[in-house]
Amino acid sequence: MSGIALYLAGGLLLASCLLRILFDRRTEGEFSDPLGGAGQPSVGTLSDTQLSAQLFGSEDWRYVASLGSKAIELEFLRMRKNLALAWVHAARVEAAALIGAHRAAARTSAHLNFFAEVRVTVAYASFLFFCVLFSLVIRIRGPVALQSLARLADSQSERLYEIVGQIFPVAENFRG
Amino acid sequence: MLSQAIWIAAVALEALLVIRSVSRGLGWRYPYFYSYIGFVLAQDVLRMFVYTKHPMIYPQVYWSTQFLGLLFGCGVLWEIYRCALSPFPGARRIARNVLGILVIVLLMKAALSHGFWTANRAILTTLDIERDLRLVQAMSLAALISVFAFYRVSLGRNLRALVFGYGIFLATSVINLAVRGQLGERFELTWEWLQPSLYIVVLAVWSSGMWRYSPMEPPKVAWSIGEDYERLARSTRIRLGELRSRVNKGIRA
Repeated sequence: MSGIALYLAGGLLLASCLLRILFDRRTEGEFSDPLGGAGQPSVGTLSDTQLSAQLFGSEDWRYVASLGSKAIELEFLRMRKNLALAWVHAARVEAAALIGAHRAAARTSAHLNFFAEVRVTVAYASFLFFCVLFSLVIRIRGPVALQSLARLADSQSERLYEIVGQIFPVAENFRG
Repeated sequence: MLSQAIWIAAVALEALLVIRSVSRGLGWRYPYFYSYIGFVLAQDVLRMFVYTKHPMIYPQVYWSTQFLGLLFGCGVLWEIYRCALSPFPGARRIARNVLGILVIVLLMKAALSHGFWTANRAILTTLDIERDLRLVQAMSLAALISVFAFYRVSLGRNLRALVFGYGIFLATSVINLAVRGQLGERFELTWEWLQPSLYIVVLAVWSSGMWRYSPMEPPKVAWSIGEDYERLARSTRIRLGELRSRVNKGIRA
């Protein structure tokens, strides 16, 4: 039965790939202007430390809680959550732009190194994974709860890069 | 009656594809694909002849042509790989590595499950071989499609039709070969008309997509980095690392 599962999985995997290219409306133009999509959040907001301090810090929340109004508290949490989600989304957009530019250049390079490409892809995938995790925590527990997760993400990312570097060694040892 | 109608429609569409390939010079552009279509057309006519005139030798003819068809099918995959990735040497290198890894993994799987190095290999049936080879083809095509998607390789009308047609054919074949033994006679009866009908869909996709020569567009974004790939990869990783640390610092601020 496990053998049949493998064949079924193979057939369904191919079917899903076909569906993906059938409905994928992304174009090559994204390589030339990866940030050009309408409604994308401003990527520059990531550099604004004051904004992120306000978004993820607890100072504002302490003030709102001191007012003692449940309605204001709920509205504050709702808006703060949306802003934090937009901030994480902006990070994903910036990473997508970076990786789009990388792929556009790498795909035509005859000197492409398979291991180096795998390492870039793993680095990008791990970044996306943590962004998804951040979004999930923001939705469930709010932006303030993210701080401990960010510390964990930092240490785990470092470990992941070390492991990937050992599995896929390249001539020059570089760390992101 | 229905199966006969489907057979006639299939032969007509295959003949149409061959005629168009000659009249439009498509055969020179996609030689492996049209060799496959020519073979399938000849196979269909031969099988029908043997089925009506010499039914005793039909199983032998069926399985030997089926095996040859599998080999011609590999040519279609090669055509997709060759045509789609020729303007993208980097993406081609990735595809070659991924396909190599895939074939090694599937060969190891086959060796383990069939006892490759033992006498058990002798009891492998033609159906087993067909199922395994179709699985290798299906996984290879899925890997190729993933590389196309990852590197935004925009397939032209012709290649898109090749990928879709052969993809539908492979996906349905692998699923059929996997479940036909499990679901019994009721499924066999349904599949007897469902598979040829799906094959007509495949031929319709090919006929429509290969009606005229429509090559891939050259890459709109062609940044030449020459031998600087290592520098590019390092720079991307460093910038991804910087972005990650900016995000983490922002959250911890």
